[in-house]
Amino acid sequence: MSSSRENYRENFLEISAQVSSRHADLNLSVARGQVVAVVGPNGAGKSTLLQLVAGSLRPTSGRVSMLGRELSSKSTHVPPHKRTVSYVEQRALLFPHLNVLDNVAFGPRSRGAGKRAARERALAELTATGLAEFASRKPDQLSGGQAQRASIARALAIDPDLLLFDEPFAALDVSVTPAVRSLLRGRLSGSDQTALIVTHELLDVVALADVIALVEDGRVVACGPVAELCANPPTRFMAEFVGVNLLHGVARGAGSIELEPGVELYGLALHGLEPDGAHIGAPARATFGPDAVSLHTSAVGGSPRNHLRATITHIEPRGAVVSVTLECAGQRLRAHVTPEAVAELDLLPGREVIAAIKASSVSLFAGPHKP
Amino acid sequence: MNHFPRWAWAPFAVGIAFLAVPIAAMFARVPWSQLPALLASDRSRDALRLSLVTCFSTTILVLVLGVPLALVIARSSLRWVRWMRTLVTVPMVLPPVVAGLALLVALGRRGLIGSHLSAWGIDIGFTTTAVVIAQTFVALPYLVVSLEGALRSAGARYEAVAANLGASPSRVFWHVTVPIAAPAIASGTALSFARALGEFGATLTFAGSLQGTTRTLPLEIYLLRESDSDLALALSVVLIAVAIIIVAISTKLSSRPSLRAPSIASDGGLTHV
Repeated sequence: MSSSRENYRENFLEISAQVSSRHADLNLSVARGQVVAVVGPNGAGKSTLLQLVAGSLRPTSGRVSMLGRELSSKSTHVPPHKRTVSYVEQRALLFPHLNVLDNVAFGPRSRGAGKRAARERALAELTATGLAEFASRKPDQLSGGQAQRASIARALAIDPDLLLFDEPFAALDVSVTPAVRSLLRGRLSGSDQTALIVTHELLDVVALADVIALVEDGRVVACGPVAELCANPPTRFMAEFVGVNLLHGVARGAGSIELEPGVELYGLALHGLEPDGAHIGAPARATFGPDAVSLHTSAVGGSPRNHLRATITHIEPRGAVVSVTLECAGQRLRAHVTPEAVAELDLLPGREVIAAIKASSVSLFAGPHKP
Repeated sequence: MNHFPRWAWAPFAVGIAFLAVPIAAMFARVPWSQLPALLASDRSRDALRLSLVTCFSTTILVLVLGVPLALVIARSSLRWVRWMRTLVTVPMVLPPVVAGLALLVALGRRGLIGSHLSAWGIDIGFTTTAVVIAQTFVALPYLVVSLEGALRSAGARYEAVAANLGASPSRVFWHVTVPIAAPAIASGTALSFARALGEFGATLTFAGSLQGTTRTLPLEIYLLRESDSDLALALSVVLIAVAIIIVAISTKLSSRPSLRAPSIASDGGLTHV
């Protein structure tokens, strides 16, 4: 528990806090300079995590500390204005009575800078954000994208030790999201800036984050490098977030898992599945893309080794393809098929089909069974 | 297309006439040529001066007490504070005479608190201070209720943003809460001022009617209505003029550009709708 200087270089931010009213028990540690994508289902506790760090929420028990300094604990609670944490929300929330420059200068002014110094700092920040020409405008004269850029400039102008973003692009027009995202990427990468970003977009994670913290049911259920969690999604939510199917089962041989008695899925063994058979009977998982699944109404021969009986539960058009949700061995999987196939095979919810999955597209992992 | 039944025009006309005719009748009776001389008389100058002084004092008191009061009611999550919200509206529905009686029982010479103050040599009843207290008692709820509603609908989000940027609670209050609520504060203040200016029953009951000390414009008008109806009418004109000015200011302020698109504010015809 000692927090020596050496220690907090590694553990820049330490959260180990419970909020009983929200059934949250959140544990997370973040290193300096890390950009952490906080992902998870709605209501899982992502915003609670951010509020604990920002100081707008006090934990029922546990502690939050940053740079070795206790922010929240049983005995202390540093109020938001005394923390060096910036918070950017979905909506820009620029103060309507101040022009853009004074909005950005508000933070430095509140932290003791003189009027002129604060304005200079604000102008520098607006210039870096490409908004210098809008400095004297009122917020209601900005577009949504410009306003959100200004709010990012405002958050950066206080030199925060930590930046918090709560779905920063969710309220923006899709056409301007890429520009704002790349602005943020420019400001985060190559700097020592630590940040937490709550998002529902895989693109944000890949473009901005080093680490994913997966929050489900009020807990941080996994935290690791982006590539690792995307390649080997530990939960159904994460698998759907990445856009792959995740099936749970029990390891059989080196190249197959049993989904339920008599239903086997063949694939390529990856992490933790040894060829000597030592793992047989242990929980295992399989992932494969929705494109690797083809649907048939009668038994088929040919190369795919996996033919699973499945029931259609939901059909939804998605751009050029149709996403078909199936129930198979008590689990859910998704197939992307062409609209022609849907018409030709007369696919309807409730219909029984055979899902053929190319074994070469299925990755198998050793891992805990998650219902 | 009008989205109301045609017969609604009939009650509309009756209602407008009902409101406008008495005022028009009064304007017809006002001795306009003698107006300057009438208003320059001792009695009217005393009443005018007293009303002006007490209403401005009341307005300041209402602002100092009312803005923080409305803020606490709008932002606090404590249950008993929410009960206070109901309590604040009571003087609005209380008959003014009853309000004056309540003040007398509390602050009068033999009142609950007044008797102690009396022992210290402080007598409030039947002084100009009593006028200000009576006016504040009835006018304060008008600011609190209208401002509390505005603060509630504006939400605490801007305040949370300011806190995260490093602003202390007091700085948030002065630099975020007050400027954003400025139009609501202004129109609430105008309402309170108008209510204080027209205050009659509570003032008469609690402060009495002494010329130059507690006899404000409405009290003077009431006393003069039979003995010197010309002067009563002249003073009424003053009250009506002030009321019109207040309504105009309040309409103008509540459509200020700070919270709305500039195109609305630049539309000059709006204020007279």
